[in-house]
Amino acid sequence: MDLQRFWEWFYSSPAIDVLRNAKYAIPLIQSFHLFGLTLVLGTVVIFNARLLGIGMGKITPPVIANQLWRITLIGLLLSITTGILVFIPDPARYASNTAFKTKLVILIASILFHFTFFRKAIRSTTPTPRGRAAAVAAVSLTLWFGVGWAGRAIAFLG
Amino acid sequence: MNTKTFALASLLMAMPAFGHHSFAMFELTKDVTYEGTVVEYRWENPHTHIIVKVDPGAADPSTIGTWDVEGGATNIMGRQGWTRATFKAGDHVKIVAHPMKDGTKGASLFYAVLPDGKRLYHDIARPKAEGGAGSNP
Amino acid sequence: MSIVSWCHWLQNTPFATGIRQSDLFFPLIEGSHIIALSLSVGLIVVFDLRLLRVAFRGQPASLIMEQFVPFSLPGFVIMFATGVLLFISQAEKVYLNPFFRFKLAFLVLAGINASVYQVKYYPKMREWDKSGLVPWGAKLSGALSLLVWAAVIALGRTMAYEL
Repeated sequence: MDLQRFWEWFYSSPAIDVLRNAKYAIPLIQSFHLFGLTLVLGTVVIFNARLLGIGMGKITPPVIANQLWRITLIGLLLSITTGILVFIPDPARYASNTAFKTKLVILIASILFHFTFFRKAIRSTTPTPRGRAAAVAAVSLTLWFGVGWAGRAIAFLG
Repeated sequence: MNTKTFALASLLMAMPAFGHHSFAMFELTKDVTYEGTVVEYRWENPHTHIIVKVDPGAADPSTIGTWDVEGGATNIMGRQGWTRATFKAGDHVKIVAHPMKDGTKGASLFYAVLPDGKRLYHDIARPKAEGGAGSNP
Repeated sequence: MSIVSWCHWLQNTPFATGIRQSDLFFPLIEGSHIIALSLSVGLIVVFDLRLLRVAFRGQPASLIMEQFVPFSLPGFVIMFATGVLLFISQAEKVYLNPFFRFKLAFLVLAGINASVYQVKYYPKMREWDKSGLVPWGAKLSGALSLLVWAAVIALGRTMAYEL
């Protein structure tokens, strides 16, 4: 079976058809998508607040990194999985949406940054210099909140 | 273009392309023409609405009654040429839309036909006959 | 004046109509509602996980609460304020939406749950923190909070899928 046939079969398969046509399938999946987003944004704000030294001062950075890193990942995994489920019943609708395309780009940038510079900054045993911490936090917050805003723009900007 | 991109591109072209949330509640394979009078034209977010009254004697008897036709967000419709003044109560109107599955008198806007024959579309979706993907999966 | 007709009047005030017809303000308010929700509910969930001894097991629950509140509270205020604006802008439609009514009911439930916690368990948090154990009632409150907020999100999302 070549790839195109596979896609055609996949697109019209009964499972995808349920996603597309069951009245509450998509809103239910989107609820989990949002729940994942709350975990990601909530924990990312805490990480960055600690990094910037605004609040969270009574908990040490390694403890925050250890305790919250997994929660961010669980949220991210939940959002990505459910995001794919929302995408596949109507791929063309999303693929032609500028806000959606922007969201994907920002998401990829967010993930790359999160697992490299950001991870290094929050796991550092020596305090990160102020300027560097501020830069890392600014990039992290802009990217993750950018993902959220671009997602909401899908319905309004097209 | 390699095989993978080609497969994806041809897949995308074969598929519907429209605006906002899930269309699960609408019968997208049906294009129904509603011809009647605008009762109310609500240019607003998150969805524009056109309330249309189809009088007895209509060409399609199944369309007789008052219908709530749902469009997209103002910004999305605006880019297709719609404005807050496109319609007003009392205007004669011809609308092609996808009716709700559960039989409720509501429909998802496909396009409106203006008196000069020009069409205003809901969003970027176009009928198959015009080289578009159509609005039915 | 019935509630429906009051909602009808409310959503037709120039203020409400202005929000609804704005390409900018409506998406901005709706976006803020969800982003602020991430902050407040996201942190409420992490605190619930602390009560359930899933996260921050080694840190006192009272400390986690004290450190989280400066972030979750502003998030909650923005979420509430934008929620009110969204209601005003579509009052009649929203009032008649069954999912909105369930959402309100769950919000009330979340409020009752939080109040019970504040009265019954919050004052003694430092005491039970010393023992390292969480009273079963506080655990139950955490579990309930997690489920109720998840339901609020789901009902909020589903509201949008009514014509």
